[in-house]
Amino acid sequence: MSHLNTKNREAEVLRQLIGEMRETLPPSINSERISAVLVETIEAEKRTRPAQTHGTGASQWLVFAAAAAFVVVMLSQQGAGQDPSTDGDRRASISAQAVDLRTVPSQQADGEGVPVYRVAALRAGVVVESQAEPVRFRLDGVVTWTLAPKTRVRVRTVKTAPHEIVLERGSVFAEVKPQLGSNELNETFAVIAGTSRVAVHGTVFSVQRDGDRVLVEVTRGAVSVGPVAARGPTTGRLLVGPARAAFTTEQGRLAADQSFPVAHAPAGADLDQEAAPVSDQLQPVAASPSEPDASSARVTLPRTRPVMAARDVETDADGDDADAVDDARDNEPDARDREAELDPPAEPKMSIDQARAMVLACLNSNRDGGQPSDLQVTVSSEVSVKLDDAGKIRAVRFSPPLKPSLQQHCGGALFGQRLDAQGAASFRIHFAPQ
Amino acid sequence: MDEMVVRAQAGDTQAFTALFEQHKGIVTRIAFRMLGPSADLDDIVQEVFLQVYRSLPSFRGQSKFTTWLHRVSVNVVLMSRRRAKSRPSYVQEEAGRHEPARGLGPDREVARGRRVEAFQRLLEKISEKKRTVFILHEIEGMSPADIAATVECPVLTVRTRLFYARREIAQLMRTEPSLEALLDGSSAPPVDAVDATRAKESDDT
Repeated sequence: MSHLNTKNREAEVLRQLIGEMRETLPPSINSERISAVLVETIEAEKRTRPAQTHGTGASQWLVFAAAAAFVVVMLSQQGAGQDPSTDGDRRASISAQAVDLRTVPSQQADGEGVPVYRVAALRAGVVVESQAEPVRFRLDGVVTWTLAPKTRVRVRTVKTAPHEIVLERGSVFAEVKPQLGSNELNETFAVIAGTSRVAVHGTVFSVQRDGDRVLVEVTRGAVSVGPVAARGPTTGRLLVGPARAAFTTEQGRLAADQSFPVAHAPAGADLDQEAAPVSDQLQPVAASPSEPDASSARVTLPRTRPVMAARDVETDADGDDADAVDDARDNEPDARDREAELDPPAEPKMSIDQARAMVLACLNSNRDGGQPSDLQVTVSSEVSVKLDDAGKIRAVRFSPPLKPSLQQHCGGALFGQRLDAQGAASFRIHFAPQ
Repeated sequence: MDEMVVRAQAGDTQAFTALFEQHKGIVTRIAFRMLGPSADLDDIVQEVFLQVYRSLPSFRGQSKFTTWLHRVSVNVVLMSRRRAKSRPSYVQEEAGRHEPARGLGPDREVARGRRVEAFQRLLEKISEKKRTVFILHEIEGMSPADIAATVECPVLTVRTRLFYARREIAQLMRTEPSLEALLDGSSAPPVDAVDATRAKESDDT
């Protein structure tokens, strides 16, 4: 009888759960963008279809690609005669044809001798793979991105904002033009690497992928790093340049932030070399104080700098981060200050002041690239945070509330940070445009 | 065959866009049910419709378009799952995940959200084949015959998988604290279940 009751109870609960799951609606999708991408892809495929019917075999193209100078743009595989419905993994690779970049409209090589191609000539779904040399693409007025050698990206969107690329291998360096005249968090460019999304609003940065680890380096401006799956603007972690951090996932969450020294070598200077694995770059720089090597100059961020990369410094698996050495170039004006930062902070928790500075930096990051702020209002608010047992911020409230986009941006920056407080804390912020 | 499908087959982009608008909801729902809240639904939906476009010429109208669309969607979702298997997935934060609905109090809504999350975790624990038929039948309300056409197996196999899926889920419910409390409760007050879970968690810590 008891057994029967248990079974009945299980069935009843199961019914309840099924009902509740049915009632749970999926989040809304950006159907406008998807529709635009679909139309764009379909139109592009229509244009290429006649060429395919004239005996442009896969192997022929592959041989052609192999002979191509340094770069091929590959469209993904679409096996003829196969049932595409069973082939869901191939969207990224449409067909086995490869197109020599010499057929893609290009502009003259820039000052660094790197050829520049027009993003507008690409289409969604195209895979671009650099060979022995770097290659650069420009979307006029929006972004210039450069692939390091042996890097592979898939173009996700071209004509619809934000322009998105998926980094499948190697590293990409990007310079995004700030979009002035709007207080909104307009994402003009984003790089998806694995399950992370790096969204920018005007900055100079690079993203490197090594399996599930993603290395983000911000030369100037700010970028947000968050999960691909999240809706709306990416707000997971904010990196304010100059900063550098590695992101991995841990137990299904964005485990940020193995921060480590910032390279002060000119952005993109490493492009002549094949992208090294992130794990290699995470190793401390074995610099000799007597023989400074400018090409491998590494500095740590000043402890007071209100950037996310400056906190939560954790030793890596080898525990070697503590040995990171500052061999900043002599002409760095604040090199001496940075030398004081040879070791990561012993206490990874942020102080209230640092949290306040982070919010202000976040508000400030709404302007970019030294341009006048597009945030022309004074912000004054009380920030209340709630912490979990580990001291991590789990809830952020602004009183009075800020504009939703700003609140999401700045609240997202604080979320998950470790704060030197118990249970809850609050502080006031006052931001005035300069 | 649906006129819109015929026009889309003939290469009419507008007709295809109309098909997308008409069926995007179903595809999004299937992807959400099968992949959970951490999935990149935009990407999956886009991928499904690209596959639909590419395979439309091979659609002969021998089954309903929606059945065929389900088949494409399920295949794309399964391929996406396999691809992502080697990668850790993101779990969204609790706050803001479940919008208040139908006048439920915030506590009840939170409790409901937690139960749904727990249920999704349970579904992750059963095999892919069983999970697929369970979701398509129990959550999406598809008939075993349609599911058989979707996953390309006999109807009897679908029924067998459903039986074992239900049994495994019932057993697994005991492993989820919030659901265990629900099983033990008399009239299943959702908030109590959550409170019990919270209390248990705080005891553990």
